[in-house]
Amino acid sequence: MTQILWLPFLCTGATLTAVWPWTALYDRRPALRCLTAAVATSGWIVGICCFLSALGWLNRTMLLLATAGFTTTLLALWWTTPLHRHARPLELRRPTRLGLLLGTLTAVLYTALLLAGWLVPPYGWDTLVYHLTVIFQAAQTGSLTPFPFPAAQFYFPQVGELHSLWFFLLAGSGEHAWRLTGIALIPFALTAGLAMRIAAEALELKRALPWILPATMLTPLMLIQPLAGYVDAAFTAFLLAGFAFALLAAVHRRGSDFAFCALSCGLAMGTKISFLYFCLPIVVVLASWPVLRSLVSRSALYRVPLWIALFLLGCGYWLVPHATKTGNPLYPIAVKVGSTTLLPGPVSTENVASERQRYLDDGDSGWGWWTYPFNEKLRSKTQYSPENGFGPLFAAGFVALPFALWIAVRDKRWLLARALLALPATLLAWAVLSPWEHPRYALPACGFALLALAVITARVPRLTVSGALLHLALVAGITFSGVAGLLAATPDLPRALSLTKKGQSSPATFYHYRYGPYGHAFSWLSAAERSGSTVTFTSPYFIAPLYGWHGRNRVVYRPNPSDPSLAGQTLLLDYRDWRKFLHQEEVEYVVVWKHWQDGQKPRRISERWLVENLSDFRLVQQYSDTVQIYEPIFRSEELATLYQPRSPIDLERLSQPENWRAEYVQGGTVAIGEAGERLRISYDFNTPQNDYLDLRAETYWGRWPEFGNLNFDLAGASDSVLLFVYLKEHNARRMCRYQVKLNGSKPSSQSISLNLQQPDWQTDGFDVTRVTEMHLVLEDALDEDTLTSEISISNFHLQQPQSGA
Amino acid sequence: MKATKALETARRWLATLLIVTAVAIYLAKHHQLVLVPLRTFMEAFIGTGTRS
Repeated sequence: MTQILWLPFLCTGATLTAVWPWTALYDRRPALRCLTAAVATSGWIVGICCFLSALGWLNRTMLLLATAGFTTTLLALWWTTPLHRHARPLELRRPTRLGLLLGTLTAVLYTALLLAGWLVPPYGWDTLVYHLTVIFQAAQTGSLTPFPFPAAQFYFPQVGELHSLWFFLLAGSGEHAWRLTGIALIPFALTAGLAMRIAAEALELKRALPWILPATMLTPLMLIQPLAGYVDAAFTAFLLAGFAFALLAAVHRRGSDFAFCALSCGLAMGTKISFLYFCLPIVVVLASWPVLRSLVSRSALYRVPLWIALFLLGCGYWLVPHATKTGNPLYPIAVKVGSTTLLPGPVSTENVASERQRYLDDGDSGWGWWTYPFNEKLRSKTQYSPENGFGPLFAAGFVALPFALWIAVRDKRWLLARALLALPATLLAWAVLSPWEHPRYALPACGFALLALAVITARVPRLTVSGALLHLALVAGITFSGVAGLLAATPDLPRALSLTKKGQSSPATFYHYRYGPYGHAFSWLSAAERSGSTVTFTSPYFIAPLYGWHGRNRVVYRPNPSDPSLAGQTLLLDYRDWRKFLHQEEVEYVVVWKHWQDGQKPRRISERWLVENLSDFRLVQQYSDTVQIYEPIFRSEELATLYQPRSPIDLERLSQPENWRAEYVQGGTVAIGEAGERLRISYDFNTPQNDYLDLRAETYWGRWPEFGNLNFDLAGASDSVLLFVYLKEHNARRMCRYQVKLNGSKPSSQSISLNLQQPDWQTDGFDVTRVTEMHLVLEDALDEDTLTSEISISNFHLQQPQSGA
Repeated sequence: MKATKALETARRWLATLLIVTAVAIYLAKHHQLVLVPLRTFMEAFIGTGTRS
């Protein structure tokens, strides 16, 4: 197993080795040279993956060739040109006892984390939905083309995933390579630690130097995140690196400081687009007159294009095409300030439900966040997870901040004061602009909190009682963070170890106990005897495991009206479309993940299509009630008609009472029945208030735009009632409305024609293609009237618009 | 001069005590995050090892 896995480590090591001599031109401090080499290596990984993706050559061989060429060229250039004569000697210092102690602890814990990484494959929910999907899709297609499920995540920049992809591809893309996708993210903790050390150096907080790197690396979330496969730790590393380089730029105003700040910021933006608001600390640090003056100097202006290029190296591959195609680099996310839309996009974060109740007590309106740093809970239980775990030093930094700020202002150390503002700026950006309220999104705040502690330690002499107490608390906090973080990094560690001991450590055994019946389905789909199947799914709860851990399965998908709405995608509009897709793509298995919160209720249109046409499928596997795997069956009579021109849409089902149900009734009663071939709605509006009823029928024929009008016959209605027709998308917030004009005061028969292209009213973004349900709403015209009557409806049909009608 | 020094010492102590208290409260609230997994680990892994 290990034979195939050494290559990614070798290539990463070779890149670092080739970059290392060049960092001597920049500075002589080992930590800064290490940080520079780490950021440059990330820049290479991202740059080469994007370049090869653009050519469609993103594969193991090309990565090897490119890396060999790059490292050889860098080393040859270094030794054959006079540049190496300008190298500054490395400034080595003897480590302190505290530094040695904490350094050893960090090394031991991270060695243990690396070993734990071999025991478990990535397990985070988001990882199995999209982070790993990006990696498998790229490994199969040789490019970074988004997976065809229309979720915003597939359109976001993917710098974090590219580091996992680099390891995955170089390790041979097999079963064991999958494990490396988590291990690949572990080194980001070192990048973050180095960044905080450089920041402390730049701010002349010398007493913090022995402990600030271990304290950053041993933040519980920094240990937990990589093996889960999440990229917040990578984002934190790049953001803190950008912050450290910005501090250096503010102190020295060297062009190289700005350049590496730009590269780090680009990589942070390329990891998570929330950099857009989490960059505030960097902006605050750079916001001083001397820095701005140096930025507008002639020599600096000459370098600005280089800085922009370095920023775009980290994120331009995604943002530039989005900007040119849609005008919005952050597509598909819409950016709004107040009611003004700055960048339009189909996905808005306005109506996102906060996840606060996972962390705070029920009904807490948000004040609980003030005490959360002292008691980190998840679902009412004190625990760490890939979502939370800031550790005791964040709590300590949180309370130390006012003192630290006071000291900075009193001593007129304005750069330090601006740097300390990073903590409140990050927490404020998180609280105001991050709608989900997951603590992990504010992970950079852990690094900034350490700066406040560093200011206090700089003021307290070590050889005093208070100094000893303070350092004791620091060491205790760091040790606890590291041990607790390591223990939380591997879910169910004893079982993983026990299985390893028996020689049964594999993704299959791990996912069996981690995900229950879903895990059994993962195993079946990954069965070694199958050479690779074509698979699709109805619900996107898990996508990555469909590839199998050998990565051989082909996963295909085409969106339907129940999926998020993104521009430029052809939708499967009805069951026949879906069948055609299954046949064309030669789909062997349709996997139905039922959401564990919903049980048997079908939530997706394709799931409903399947349930309504079970005779067209064969149940191959079933795991509990939550996973079913079907094989599509195509009979000759179906194939004979599948590709023929479409027959007229049959709306007869709307005249049948069993397809209608009362969604909402207020102040009266309703009965839905049949009268001949007509739908009969009997109602009794018996209160002097507004009486109201809302009837709903599922539709999803999807072909509305091909027609001009929706027609039906209505009998028995008079203008003593108001009748409305609503057409709603699967996302029921998007709808259109028609008011049916009734003939007069006496019940009569009339033909109703609704212009599908021009409703009376519609919500923003409503798309008639995505209509999945029809509502009939009936209410009394005068609230004080009481009415007992009935209407009947029949002959629903669609027709082309008639000129002059 | 003495008063300034005393004030500085008081501030230093106050900051130290706040930090130490924050860490102590945190450790008191979260100690089971280390103790429980370690106990489980000892029972499940080392215990199994002894039996086998």
